[in-house]
Amino acid sequence: MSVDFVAVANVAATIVIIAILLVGIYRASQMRRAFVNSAYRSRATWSAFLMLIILIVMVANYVPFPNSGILSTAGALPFIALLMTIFAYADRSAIVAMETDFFHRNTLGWLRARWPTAIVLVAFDAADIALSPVAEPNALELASINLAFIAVVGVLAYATATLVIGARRSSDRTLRRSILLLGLAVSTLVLSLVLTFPLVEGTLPFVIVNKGTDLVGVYLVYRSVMSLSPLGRIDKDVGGTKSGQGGVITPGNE
Amino acid sequence: MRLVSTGVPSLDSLLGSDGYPDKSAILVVGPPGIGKEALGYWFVRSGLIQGDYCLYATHRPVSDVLRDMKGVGVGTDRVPEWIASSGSAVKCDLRDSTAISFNIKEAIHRNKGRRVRVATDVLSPLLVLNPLESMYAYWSQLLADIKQQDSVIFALAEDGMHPQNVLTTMEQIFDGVIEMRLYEEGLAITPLFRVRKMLGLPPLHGYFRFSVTNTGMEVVPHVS
Repeated sequence: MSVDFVAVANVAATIVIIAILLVGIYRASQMRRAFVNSAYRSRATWSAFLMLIILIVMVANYVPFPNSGILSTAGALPFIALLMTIFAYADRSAIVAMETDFFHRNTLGWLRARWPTAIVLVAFDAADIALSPVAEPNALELASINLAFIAVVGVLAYATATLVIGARRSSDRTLRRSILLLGLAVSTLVLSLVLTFPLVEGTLPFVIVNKGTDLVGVYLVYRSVMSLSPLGRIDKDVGGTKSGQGGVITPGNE
Repeated sequence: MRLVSTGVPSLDSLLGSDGYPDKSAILVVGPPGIGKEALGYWFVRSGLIQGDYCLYATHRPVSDVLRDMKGVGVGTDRVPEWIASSGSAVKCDLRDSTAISFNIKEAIHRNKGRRVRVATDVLSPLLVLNPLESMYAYWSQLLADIKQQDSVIFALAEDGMHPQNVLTTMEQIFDGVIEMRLYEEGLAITPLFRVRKMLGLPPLHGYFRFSVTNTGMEVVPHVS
């Protein structure tokens, strides 16, 4: 009996990614509740939401949407939602990085370019929705798809560069690390889109590149939210007690 | 030993019914965003209600601090005297640590005879901008001068902003050290509070769960 290594690798990577996402969503939600500062709480919320959307996209990959017809549009929606969420989160993060920069520098002109880039992204999404019911696109439609693809990769690469440079300029060391990790996570998506474009879906190189970048990207998003606060470990010798008294020694009960 | 209310009733009872020891310096250590400032706001608010002289020395603008206070449910009908980066009569310039120390001591001297509460968030920025040796001497002298009067000083330190040896060194010159941090228990993450030391009190073992909302702050024993 031969083992289909491609399928096994695919499933194993998917399970690991989904596990990271589930833990990440749970922990990000708990951190959101714990933070008092709105900037930190907002980052935890965005991270939880982003990981939820990634999870939906991964699950949607296993739903057999038709290749043509109006129902194929539904198959494109999760990925479009993911692109929009990544862009919105990257935008918020870039602005936070600028606000925490001592000199409030407009990193790579993001404040001027954010709306035009958002429009480019929406235009791609509209093109994707419009062309997804087409089973065999003609030359013009194919050219539109390729142009839209290049535009999206460009927008994401621009967002990545803004995040990485903006993070380095932030005066808040914690936010700096978190934003930098998010920038690197977005860069893995760019890498994934570019590297898998010429590959044939279902082949070993495709699975390695696709799942490898997904795994790294998801882990970077998880690290991005976890880096918002160092986590302590409870010392068992002074840890919480089962009595509900918290182990307090007061003059009355010592 | 006289005690000074922390402004958080559940924390007062945890510390032995009345709060921080008088003539003491309290350091609150924790990562950013966790709510250390809220503890300072409630401390100052409690002093204002009791008629104490309260001073808030901050590297932030007064408007930012007031907005934060409202966010955690601290009323701003009574406000302390400010030494702030903007919005106050006396400016806080982090490049001039001598002026910050002088202004704090001068304000306290003007209120001789009253009980004094000082809350400040300038410790961490000053530690970043100056050598540890000079800051150790600076804070030792400042705290000693302040404690000569009927006063309590409450300082915040950002965890993660300094190497561990810097924080450990600074903790030595404070009479009380409170740690606020997120802890992991399995997959769960819980905000916990720990009193590492407190002048005149026996060691407080254990962890305490805290929550900061827009109506107040609550500290309860943590059951693991």
